[in-house]
Amino acid sequence: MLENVLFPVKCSESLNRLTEMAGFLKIFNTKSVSILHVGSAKKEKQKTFVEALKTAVLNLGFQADVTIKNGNVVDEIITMAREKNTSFICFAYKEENPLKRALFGDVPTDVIRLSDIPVFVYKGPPPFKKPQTVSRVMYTTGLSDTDIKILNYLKSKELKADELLLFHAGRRAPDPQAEAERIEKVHERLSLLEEQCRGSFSSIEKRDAVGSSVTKAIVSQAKKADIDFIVLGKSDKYSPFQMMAGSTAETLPHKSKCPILIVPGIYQGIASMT
Amino acid sequence: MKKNIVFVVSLCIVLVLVGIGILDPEFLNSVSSLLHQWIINTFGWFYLLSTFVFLVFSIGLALSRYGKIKLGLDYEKPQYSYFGWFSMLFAAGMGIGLIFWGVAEPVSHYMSPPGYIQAFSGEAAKFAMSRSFFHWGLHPWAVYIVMSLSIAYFSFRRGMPPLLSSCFYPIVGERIYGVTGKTIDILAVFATVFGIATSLGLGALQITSGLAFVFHLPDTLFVTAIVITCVTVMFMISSMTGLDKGIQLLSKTNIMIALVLLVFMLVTGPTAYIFNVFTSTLGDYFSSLLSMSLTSNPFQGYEWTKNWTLFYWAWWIAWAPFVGLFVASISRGRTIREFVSGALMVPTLLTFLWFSVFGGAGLNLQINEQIPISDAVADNISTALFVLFSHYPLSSLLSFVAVLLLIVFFVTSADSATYVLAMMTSGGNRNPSPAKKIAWGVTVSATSLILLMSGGLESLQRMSIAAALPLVVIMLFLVWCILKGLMYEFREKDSSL
Repeated sequence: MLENVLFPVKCSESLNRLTEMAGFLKIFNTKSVSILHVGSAKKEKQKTFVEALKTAVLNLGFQADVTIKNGNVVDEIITMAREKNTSFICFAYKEENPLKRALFGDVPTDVIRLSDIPVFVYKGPPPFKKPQTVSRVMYTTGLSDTDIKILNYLKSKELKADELLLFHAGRRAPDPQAEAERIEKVHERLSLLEEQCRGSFSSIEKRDAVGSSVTKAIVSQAKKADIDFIVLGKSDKYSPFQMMAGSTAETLPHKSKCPILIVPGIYQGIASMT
Repeated sequence: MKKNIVFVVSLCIVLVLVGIGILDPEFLNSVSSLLHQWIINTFGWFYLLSTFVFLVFSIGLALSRYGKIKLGLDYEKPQYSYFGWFSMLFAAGMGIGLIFWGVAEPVSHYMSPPGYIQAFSGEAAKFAMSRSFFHWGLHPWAVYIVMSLSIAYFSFRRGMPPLLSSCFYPIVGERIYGVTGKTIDILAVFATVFGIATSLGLGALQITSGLAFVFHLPDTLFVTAIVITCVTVMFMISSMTGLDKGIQLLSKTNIMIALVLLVFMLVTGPTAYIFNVFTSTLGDYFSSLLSMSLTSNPFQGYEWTKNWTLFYWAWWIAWAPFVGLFVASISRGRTIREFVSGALMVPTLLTFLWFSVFGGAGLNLQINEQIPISDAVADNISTALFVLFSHYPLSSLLSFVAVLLLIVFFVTSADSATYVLAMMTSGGNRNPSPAKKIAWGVTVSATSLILLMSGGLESLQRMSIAAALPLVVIMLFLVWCILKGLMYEFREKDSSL
């Protein structure tokens, strides 16, 4: 399902961390890694860097190839993903100054916004902690059509996780009665999702929260429930505020402490698996 | 006790402030002046911007797909006829103020415009009329609309108690029943009590002036005290008969009297001149609406803007909880589009006509007939209308009718305020107990009377305007809350949560 990955890298990144991320990809049963570096191919240092990474990836048991391109980084990533028909794109998240991000932009955020295939954002373990394992997965559902597509992924045997937390963060209804009805509907839909995921996980839990910031609710819930990995759907409908500040999918990688897989609603790769 | 917390706390606050006003009016005066000046100096621009936002929001909402949503359940029909509805809107919103300022405001602007306009010039007259339209036109009604629409939507469509705090459910949830909600309701009661007490005090002064003109009664505080007492008895009786009978009947009667007076003045006065004033000012008003809405004259004339425009904006906002709740309670069953267009256009048009007729007639006396009506305005602003009448046929009858109008508008304002205060302090009960109506009626009248005598009425007015600052923030949140509520309806239709 997520067999081949596009792996855009920068020479300023730590080789160890990128290798660590490649190791993490095994939970998806990924087979081949396409390493992409966008920059000047003439610089010897860059060539050496990507070749070293290729060797490290091959040593982990993946097939690997390297491409070095010139041009706009985001455009090249999206074009290459389409050309190579990769299953998903992955990034090793690097903490950036928010002001710098606002002024100069941020490649992962732009790729998340533009990509029509899933994007995986790797967040390494905190310092002095052992490498991450995936035991508890949280699927943050908008209770929309995207669920059908993501369910297939969650149910696939390739995702090696034991426990699933189905989480919905919604907006409060305008009055107590409507709110009670909304909560009832949310519980019904979460139960339906639980029913469909049964058998794929040893335990499934359902939770919901209310608030104006979905990102905040997800981060807080992931922390509370000690989540290892978040799966999130991406909507193409933006509110005026989201147009300015970014959608949940775009803002979550900057706030979350654990890795995230963002799946676009129109993603055909997953839909075709149904 | 817990059930009556809003009633007890707000009554205590009112009594403490009135007590200070009686014991040490100077202290109340200096504190309120300081507070008022600081707020207007620091946040004047914020009032301008917010009021403009309310106007844009109201028009935008009426034109949007949300305009079709009913303030009530889908099958409900409007409770009152158009005539009854408009009459009550007008009577509660600004009836008494229009009688007071109809002549006085344009003449005041004509003789004391901001520094960049020469006083007593043609430019000053043009400015005077367009600013009178501006201060009493679309903006005040937009302020009222935001408040009343929110309350009507959340109470009639979403089934919550008709309280200001109910509108905050989409943001704060169950906390509307806690400290947050109670604080919002107490603030609304506070602004209403002081707003209505001040208005009644000023209204009583004008009635006294009118009585002095018509019946040659002495223009003294003793007569004003008798006026307040008599009117209190009248509005208490009206209040006991309920919304359907008392207020509606009085409002309809008043609008009819006002229209007769308007037509009489139009016919016997300089008709063509008045229509010229009306059409020209209408043109000026609409062509400069955007600049007027956002100009605070920071380079020259800021004092004028502070004393007039910013004062009015703060005043309308301070009045908004009372008018908003009242207007909401009479608007059940109307669609948002019908509500906004009705409340925005009809009272505004009537106000424009009123100012054109009375302000135009006053300016005509001053400019064309060389009768210095500006002296009367400078001397005692509440006599301006009666001085104008003295230059018209049947002047005594006109003055008598104007006094009658003032009394009835006074009664309808006080009656609706009593109803609203009792409702706000009864957890939103639409049929509040007569005891609470009496308690608030007596409190408002006594406050007005005592502070008029101790000289603390203006301090009270400034305190009520100070309450406009938190209220304007509350109203901006109301815009957000109502949008959240309306968007939920459409989301629900799309069955996405």
